[in-house]
Amino acid sequence: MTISPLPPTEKTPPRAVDVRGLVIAAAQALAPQYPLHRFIARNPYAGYEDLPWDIARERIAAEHGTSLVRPESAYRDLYAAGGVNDADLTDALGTLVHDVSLDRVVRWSGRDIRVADVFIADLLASPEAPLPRRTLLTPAERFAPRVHTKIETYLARLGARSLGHAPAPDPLTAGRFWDAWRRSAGRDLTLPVRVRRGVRIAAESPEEAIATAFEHWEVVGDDAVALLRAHLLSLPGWAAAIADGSSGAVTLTDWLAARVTLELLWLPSDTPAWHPNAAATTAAAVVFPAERHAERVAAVADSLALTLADAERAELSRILHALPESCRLEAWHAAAERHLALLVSPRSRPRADRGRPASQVVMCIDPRSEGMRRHLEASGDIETFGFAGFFALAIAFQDAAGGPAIASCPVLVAPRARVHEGSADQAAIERLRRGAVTARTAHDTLEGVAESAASPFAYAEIAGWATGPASVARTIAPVTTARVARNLREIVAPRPATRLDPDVAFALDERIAYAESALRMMGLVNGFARLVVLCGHGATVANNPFAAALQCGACGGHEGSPNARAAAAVFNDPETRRGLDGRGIHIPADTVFVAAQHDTVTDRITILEPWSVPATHAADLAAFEDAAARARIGSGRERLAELPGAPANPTDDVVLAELERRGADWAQVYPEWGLCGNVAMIVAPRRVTAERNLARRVFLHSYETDADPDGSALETILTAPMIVAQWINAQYSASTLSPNRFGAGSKTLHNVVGNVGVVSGYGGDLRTGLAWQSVGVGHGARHEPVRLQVFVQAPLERVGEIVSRSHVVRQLVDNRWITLRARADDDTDWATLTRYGWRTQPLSDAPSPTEPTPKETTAWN
Amino acid sequence: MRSASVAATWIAFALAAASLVLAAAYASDVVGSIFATLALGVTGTVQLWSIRHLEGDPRATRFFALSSVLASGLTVTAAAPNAIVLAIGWVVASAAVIALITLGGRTTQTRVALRRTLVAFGIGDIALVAAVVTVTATPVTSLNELGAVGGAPALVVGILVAIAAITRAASVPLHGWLPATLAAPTPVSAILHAGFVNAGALLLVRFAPLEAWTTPVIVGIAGGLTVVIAGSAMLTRPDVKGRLVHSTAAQMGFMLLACAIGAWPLALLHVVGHALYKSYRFLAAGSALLGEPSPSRAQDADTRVLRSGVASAAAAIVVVIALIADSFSHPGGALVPFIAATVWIGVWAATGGRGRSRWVIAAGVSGVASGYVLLWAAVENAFPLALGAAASPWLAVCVFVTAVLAGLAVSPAAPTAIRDYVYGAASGWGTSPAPPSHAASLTEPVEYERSSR
Repeated sequence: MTISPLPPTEKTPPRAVDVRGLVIAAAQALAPQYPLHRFIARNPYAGYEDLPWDIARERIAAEHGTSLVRPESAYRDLYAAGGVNDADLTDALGTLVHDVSLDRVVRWSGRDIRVADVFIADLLASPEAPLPRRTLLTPAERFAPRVHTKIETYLARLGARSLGHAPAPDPLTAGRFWDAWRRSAGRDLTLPVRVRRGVRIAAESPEEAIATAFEHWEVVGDDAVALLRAHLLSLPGWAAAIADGSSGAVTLTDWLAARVTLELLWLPSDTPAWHPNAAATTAAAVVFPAERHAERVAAVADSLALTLADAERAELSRILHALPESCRLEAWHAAAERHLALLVSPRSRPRADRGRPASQVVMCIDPRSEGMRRHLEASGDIETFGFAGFFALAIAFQDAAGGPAIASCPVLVAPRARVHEGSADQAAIERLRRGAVTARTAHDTLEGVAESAASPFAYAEIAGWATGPASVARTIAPVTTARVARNLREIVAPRPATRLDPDVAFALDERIAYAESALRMMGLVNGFARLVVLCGHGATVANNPFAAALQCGACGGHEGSPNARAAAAVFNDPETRRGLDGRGIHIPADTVFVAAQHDTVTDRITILEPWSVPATHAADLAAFEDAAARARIGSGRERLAELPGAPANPTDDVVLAELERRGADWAQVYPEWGLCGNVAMIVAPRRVTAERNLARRVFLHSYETDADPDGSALETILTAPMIVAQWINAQYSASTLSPNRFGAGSKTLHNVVGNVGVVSGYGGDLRTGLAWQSVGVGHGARHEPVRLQVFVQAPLERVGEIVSRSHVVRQLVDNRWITLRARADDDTDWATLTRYGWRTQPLSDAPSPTEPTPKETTAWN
Repeated sequence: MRSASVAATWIAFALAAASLVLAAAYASDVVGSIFATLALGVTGTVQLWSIRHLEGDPRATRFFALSSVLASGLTVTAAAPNAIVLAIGWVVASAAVIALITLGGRTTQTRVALRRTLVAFGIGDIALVAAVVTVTATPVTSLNELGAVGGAPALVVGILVAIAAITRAASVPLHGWLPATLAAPTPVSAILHAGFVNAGALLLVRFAPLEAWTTPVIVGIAGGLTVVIAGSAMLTRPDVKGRLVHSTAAQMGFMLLACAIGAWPLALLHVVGHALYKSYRFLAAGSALLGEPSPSRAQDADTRVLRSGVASAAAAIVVVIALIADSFSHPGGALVPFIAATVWIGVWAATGGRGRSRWVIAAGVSGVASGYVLLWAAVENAFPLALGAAASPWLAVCVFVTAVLAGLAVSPAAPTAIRDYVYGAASGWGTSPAPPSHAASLTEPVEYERSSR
C-alpha cells in the first residue's frame, strides 16, 4: 500500500454478523440462478426494483455494464421500419419533458415548428447516446489485469468444482467449504507458492478473511459493500448459482472470502489504494457535456434544415436541455412500448349471451396458450379461460414409477400436500417400478464404466458399435427412433391407467375452499359446459439442457399434467360440489372436468386420464378431441411460419410431421419460440380479446369483476401471476438486451456443468439467463424488449387499493418497472396508474391503430 | 460467399469420397479404407445433424465447407499412395481444424485455442514434413519399402513420426491444444474427436515398416503417460465436455500404447469403436443433466464384500476366456487387464442397484465383455499384422497398474493429503485461461460478432 494507513484507533474490525450483513447488501445486485432441472424465469433486475427505473438504469450500467434499453441505433432502425411512429414518440416525450410544452410552436428561419417535432428530430438525428460502461471493478481488475485473469480462471474452476459433480467426488465438497478450500488450495500446485502459503495461514472463518480485506483496502460501510459487489459481479454467474444455495455447501460469504483472500495474496505488494468511484473519475473516456450538447444542437438544426440565428440557436439549445441526453433512450423505450401496447390493447366488446358452449377449456396464462386458445375457439363450440398453469394447487407430485417427489408449484410457494399417482392394478404398478429401477441401474452401470480410471477403454470401443448406428438413426429419422425408444420403454415398463389422490391429500373443507377460490379467480362461476377441460402444458424436447425453461413455470419448471389431473379430480368430487353449492357456485350434475396437457412444441393436446371420463361424455370428449386435432394444425402452421428451418407453405401432413420432429430431434435448437415476444398481460374476460390474433405475445388471465365480489381473486392475480409474468418478461428482455451478460449465448458452445447450469466453451463463468436461440436468430434479436404492459379490466378503486396494499406491486408501478392500465368495463377508456394517480391515456383516441395481423405483430427483423 | 462455401463443401466432399473409392477399390487397402470410411461417415452424419443444430447460425456455411475440407484431408491421408501425398493430406486436415476453431468467434477462448493449436500443429506437422523430406532424400520410393532405410536416418524419421502422431493424439507433452478446442461449436468437436485425433494410428501403421526402435518407445511412453494423466483429469471434471475431451486424450493414449506394443489390429478396432462412441457423446452433450436429485442409494458395508467378490470373479472369467482364446500369445494380450477392469467396474456398479434386474445387468456386462475378448482374439488371429519394431508388452501392464493407482488417488479412499495434491493437479491439467469477457457486444452473442473489438 502506498497510502498511509489511518490511525488504528479509528477502526475496530467488523464483527462476523456485520460482515454477513454487508455480503447480503452486496448480493442485492444478483438474482439467484435456479439449477437446470427447475430452471424457471428469474428477473435479473429484481435487486434494483426498489429504485426508480431511470436511476436503476444508471446503476445497472455502472455495475453490470449492460443497458435496460436498446442502443439508440436500434430504435432508429425500428422507427424506419415503422415499429415506432411520431405519435408514440410524442406520447413518450409527454411524460418525460416537463419544462417546455410539446405543443408550443416556435418560429425559426421563417418556419413554424412544433416543439414535439424538434424533439423527434433530436431523437432521430443527434449523435447516439453513449453505451453503458462498467465502472465498478475489483482492485485486481483495475490495477493488474494479468493477475486478474489468473484469479478469475482459478475461480471459474473453483465454482465449477464446488457446484458441479465430477465422477470422483471433489475433496472441496467434503465438510465446511471454508476449511476444505483452505486445505485443498494450500495443496493446489496450480497456484503460486506465495498464494498457497498464504491460504494455509488465512483466517479461521470466512468472515474474518473478509474483514482482513476490508482492513487492507481501508473500506467501510458503502465502500465495503462496493468492494464485495465488485467481486460478486466479476464472475456473476457463479455467484448467482451460489446465491441460490441449492447446488452445494458453499455460501456467498465463503465465495467472497476466497476471492478477496486470493486477491490479497496474488496482487503485487505495491498495488495502489482502491476506491469504488475511482474508475468513474479517472476513466480514459472523458465526456465534455457542453461539447456534446453543441453537437446535438447542430444535428437537430441540420436535420430540420434550419439555418439558425444565434438567438434561435440559443432557444433550441434551451429546449433540448429539457430532455437530458440520458433520457432520450427512455423516450425511445417508452415509445416502443406504447406502440406494442396499442397493438395488443383490448377493445370494447359488450357482453353477449352465447348460450351453453359444447366445452370449456382452461389453459395456462402462458402466452403460448393464446395461440392454441384462438385456434380451439375457431375449431369448435369451445369457450376458453386463462388461469395459472398449476391450477392454484400447490402440490408435491409422487409418480407411480417411484421417482423422487417433484414440487409442482411456483418456486416461491411450498407444496401444501403430497399427491400420489396410483392404480388399482397393483401388479402393474410393481412392474412399472421394477422397470424404472432396471433403467436406473443400467444407466448407472454405463456411467460407472465410462467414468473410472481403467475401464473406459474397452467400454468406448464396445459402446461405439451401438452409438454409431444410433447417431445415424437419431439424425436421419429422429421421430422413428424416438418412437422405437418409447415402445421399448412401454415393453419394459408398461404404464397402467392411474389416478391421483387429491381427495386423500386434501381435507374436504380444503378442497371446497380451493375450488371456490380457483373458480372465482378464473371467472367461471356459472354457465358450465358439459365438458370442462383443465389443460396444463409441457414441452417435448430432446437433448436440451434448458428443457425446464420450456415447461410450465407455474409448476416449478415441470409439466402441468399432475396439477391438471389433481384439479379435475377435485372438481369432479361430489362432496366438493355439494360444498360449492353452499357457497353460491352450482356445477351442474352433467358437467365433467377432464384433465389434459398441451404440448407446446408439438401442439398436441393429450387427454391425460381418458379412463376417468364417464361413458355419458364420450361423445363430448370425441368432439373436443376432433376440434383439438384441427386446432393443432392451425396453431402449428402459424408457429412454423415463424420458426427457423421450417418448410414453407406446408400441407397438413407436413405440419404434423414437422411438429413431431422438432420435439424428438436431438439436433434441434429451435424446438419452439417459448415465450419470446411477450409484451403484455391482460386480466379481463376473454370476450375483449377474443377473435383477435395476439400472436402469442400476451399473458391472458381471465377475470370477471362480478365473480369476485370481495376483490380477493384480483388481489391474488396481481400479486402472484402478474409478478411471475413480470419476471418472465424481464428475463426475456435482459437475455435480448445483453446476451453476453444476462443471456447464455449460443447453444452450440454450451457445456453442461452438473445440474447447476452451462458454461460456454471450455470454462469460465456460469451462463445465466436464456440461450440466444430463445430470443434471436443469427445476428438479429427476435424478442422485443419492453417492460410488461398490464391491462386490468376491473374497477379502478379496486385495482388502486390492491396496488397500494402490496409493497411489491406498488414498487413495480411507482418505479416504472411495469405499466399498469385499467378500465372499469368495456365502455371506458384505459387509465394508466402512475406514482401520482390514474392518468387517462389517449390509447383509444390515438390515430386509430389497425387490427394487428400476424404479419404485423410478428415481422420482427 | 455463401454459394462459394456451398461449392467448396461439395467439391471437398467429392474429393474425400473419391479418395475412399481409390483406397478401397483400386489399392484394396483395408486400413486406409477403414479410416477413410470412418472420416466420411462421421463427417457426413455430423453435417446432417448440423443442418438443424446450426440453424440460423451465421457460421453455418463456413462450418460445412471447412468440415468437408477436413474430411477430404483425412481421406487423402488415409488413401495416400506415398509419403508426400500423405503429408499433404495431413497438413490440409490440420489447417482445416485450425480454420474450424475460428468458428468459436471473437472470444478470448478462441484466441487461446488458436494459439495452442497453431503451436502444437506447427510442431507436429513440421516434424512429419521433415520426416517425409528425409525419406524422400533416400532411394526409397514407397512406404512399404521403408525397411530399407537404416541407421541414423531411420532413427531420426522414427522420432519425427512419433512426434507427429503424439501431437495428433493430444498426448503428453503436446496435449494442451485439445481441451482448448472446446471453444469451437459442438459439431466441430464431434468431428475432431472422431475423425481427426486418431490419424496418429494410421501414420504409425504407414511408417511401421521402418526399422526404428525410437517410434514405439516414444509413442508408448507418451501414450502410457497420457492414459494415466488424462484419465485422472477426466475423473475430476465437473463439465460434460471437459470429461469428454480428457476421455478422448486418454483413449488416444491407449491407442498409441496399443500401436507401440505391436497390437495393431486392436488399435484399429479401438479407433473405430471410440470414434463412433465419442461423436455420439458430443452430439448428445445437451442431455448430460443429472436429473432430479434422488435419495442416494444404500451403500451398506456387507454388500461391498459380496459385490467386489462377484466383480472379481467376473473379471477372472474374462481373463480365463482370454487364456483359452490364446490372446496372450499376441502382444494384444497385454491389454486384457483393461477389459477385465471394465468388467469389474461394470459388475460393481450394476450390483450397487436394487432389485433382481441388477444381476441380469451384471451378467449382461460380463457376457458382452467376454464376447469382446473373443472378438479381439479373432481379429488378432485374422489380421496378424506383425509390423516393424515394438515396445515391450509389459509397458501396457505398467500403464494399467499406474492408471488404477491414479484413479484410487483421486477417490475418497485415498489419504486426504495425497488426494488433495493429486486431485488439484488433475483438475488443473490441460486447463486454459478463461478470463471473464465483460466488454462484449450489447446486441448479439460475442461468438457471432463479425468485426474485431
